Amino acid sequence: MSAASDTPITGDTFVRPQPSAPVRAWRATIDFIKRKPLGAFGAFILILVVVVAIFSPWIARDAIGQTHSGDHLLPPSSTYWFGTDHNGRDIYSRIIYGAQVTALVGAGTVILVGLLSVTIGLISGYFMGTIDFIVQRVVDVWIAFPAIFLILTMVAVLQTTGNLGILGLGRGPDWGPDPRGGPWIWNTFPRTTIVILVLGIVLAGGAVRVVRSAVLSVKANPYIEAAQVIGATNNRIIWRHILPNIMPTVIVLATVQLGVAVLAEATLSFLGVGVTNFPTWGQMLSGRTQDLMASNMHLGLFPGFAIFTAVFGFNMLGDALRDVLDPRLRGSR
Amino acid sequence: MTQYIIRRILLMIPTLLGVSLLVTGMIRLLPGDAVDILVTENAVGGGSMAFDQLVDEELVEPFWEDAPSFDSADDASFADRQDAELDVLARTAIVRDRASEEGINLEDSETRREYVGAIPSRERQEIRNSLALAAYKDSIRAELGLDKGFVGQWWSWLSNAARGDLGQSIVGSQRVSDELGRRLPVTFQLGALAMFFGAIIAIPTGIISAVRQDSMIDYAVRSSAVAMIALPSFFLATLVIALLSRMLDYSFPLYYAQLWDSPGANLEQMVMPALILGLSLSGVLMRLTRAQMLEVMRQDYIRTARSKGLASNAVVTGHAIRNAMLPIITILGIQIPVLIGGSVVIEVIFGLPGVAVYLYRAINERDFPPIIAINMVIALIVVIANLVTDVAYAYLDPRVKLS
Repeated sequence: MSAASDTPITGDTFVRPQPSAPVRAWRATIDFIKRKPLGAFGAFILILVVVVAIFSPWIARDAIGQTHSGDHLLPPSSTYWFGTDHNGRDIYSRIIYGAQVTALVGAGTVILVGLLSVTIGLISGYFMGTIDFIVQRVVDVWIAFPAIFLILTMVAVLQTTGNLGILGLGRGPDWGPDPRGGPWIWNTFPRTTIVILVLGIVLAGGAVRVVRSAVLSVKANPYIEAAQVIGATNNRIIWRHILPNIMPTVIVLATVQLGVAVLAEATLSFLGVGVTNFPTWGQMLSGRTQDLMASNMHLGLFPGFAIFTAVFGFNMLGDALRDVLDPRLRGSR
Repeated sequence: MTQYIIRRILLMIPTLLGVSLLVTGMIRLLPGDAVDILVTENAVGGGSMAFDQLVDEELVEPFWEDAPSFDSADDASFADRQDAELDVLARTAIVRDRASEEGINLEDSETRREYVGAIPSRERQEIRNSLALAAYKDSIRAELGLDKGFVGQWWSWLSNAARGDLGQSIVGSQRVSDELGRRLPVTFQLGALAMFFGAIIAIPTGIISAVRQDSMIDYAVRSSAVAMIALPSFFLATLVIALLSRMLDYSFPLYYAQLWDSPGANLEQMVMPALILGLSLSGVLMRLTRAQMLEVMRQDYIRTARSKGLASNAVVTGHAIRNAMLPIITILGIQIPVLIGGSVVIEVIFGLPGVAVYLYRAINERDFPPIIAINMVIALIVVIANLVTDVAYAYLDPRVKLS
């Protein structure tokens, strides 16, 4: 080769210098905040819940289960920011601890839904034929009845305390570390796992359909056919071509499912079948709160607004991400 | 069309079989059953009376070859009867474990009776009670057909259901079909009212939001739609009950009034729950209506109508809404499972005797026949609703071809 082509291009060229990766990420973030302020608010809520969950033992003012004898049903004050409940517990601290349940159940459910729906949806959509027919009939059964019915039945099945249950999961709090032993949600390991498992499995039903349709539309592209013609294996096509191209759909799906999962967890806790041995937002609205709410509004207002704000934020983030990443999904749900 | 409907109905059969298998299978995994909850220690009466009675009824069988037969127990001497009882006690796991720990061989009848006889009477009583209880529970399970195993239980349920017999509640002993007949209308009424409220809130706002796309109204409607989705219905219901009681000193009636007995009282207690359920439904409905309306507004014939100089209002009411209404109505059909699911919490909070709360209670009590029956009935309703929605859509819109 001639020496001329080896010399680096200098001076007046049309090549704009590419900013480094962190700079690009920063610019994309600023752009997102400018274009989707409500989505950015949702992202802020998401980060807030995660941070509060991680640092909750230091942010909370009381230890788990700590009661102040004599200070029952006090309205919000400088001592008890959100007031106290009928047992004399600080509501602020309980809400802070409750963020752990929201974060862990939300994240766990979304990861499980993602894994299940991508695996099943990919296989069903890519290979088609008999396997697709069978999977679609199973999904029919899966989504044939209201999710909450399936969730209630499954949680009851898995959570029956006393006897063995399945895989020892039904043994409840007496298995594993003592839930009262520390300020962390994973001390309630079996019960939290049951809630995550059930929500993940039940919510994956509808998600399989979405992933499958995304796979079908990616598969229709000419580059998939080209890859098949040059003899690429199915494995390679799935990993290199289909999976990266359905990722936007999966990310949007996960964010939307996050709100659904958090709301479902709160409903389960409210009905008394979710995580029962750790403070949760849904649980704080059930039981005695129902009777005492009329004269002590602070009992239900704060946990209710906590659920509302979290789910509202997650949904806003999901909407914004959908507009940015996957316009095809707009208006679905 | 007829062919399509027949094929859809045929496809419903595997779906419903799958649902029944799934539910029966899940229930089989339940560690405890209704019998455990039903029969507490007290139910047997406790004490040797119950044990003797069970022995007389031959529920506790003689285990050892050299044990005297219980048929002759009435004639046998008191000593023989006592020996027989000691033999039975020696057979229990508690006593055997204890004996093997202490290295005592219970095979020999003399040592056995001596060993069991030496157990303090209070402990012997406890063993007797647990034995009697277990035998009693087994007899009830056999009576209810709970000992038949997975396939047997499923098959007997299926063959009975095909004949219209949905079984009997184990806990309450009422017939499930009667109970469902009483409760389904309540849930239907709640659902229909909620659908009505949801639709009259969501459809106009969704249409306005689409017509004024990207205006302040649009942003307000979209945000409040997300807010409706995010607002937990149990929080809203609790808040409404508390506020009504606080400000108007109003409390909801404790007892449910039938619609045909006292329509006024019934509506009074149904409107608020239905409104709350309708509000949480309206979020999703608003978004779907808006998306549908936007889809129509993008069509060529809307542009044509505009370009021929038609007033903006006339375009919207005359062309857009008419064409958007059809898919919006089918959207309502898709919401039926969402409605039934949402009614669980509402029925629990407002104490309405509907199907959803029946399932909730049955699950807590491990009462299988209602659990299976309710899930099946709900699945059937959902599947039929989907079919009716699809067919109605095709019937109303000649462009849609079902195949």
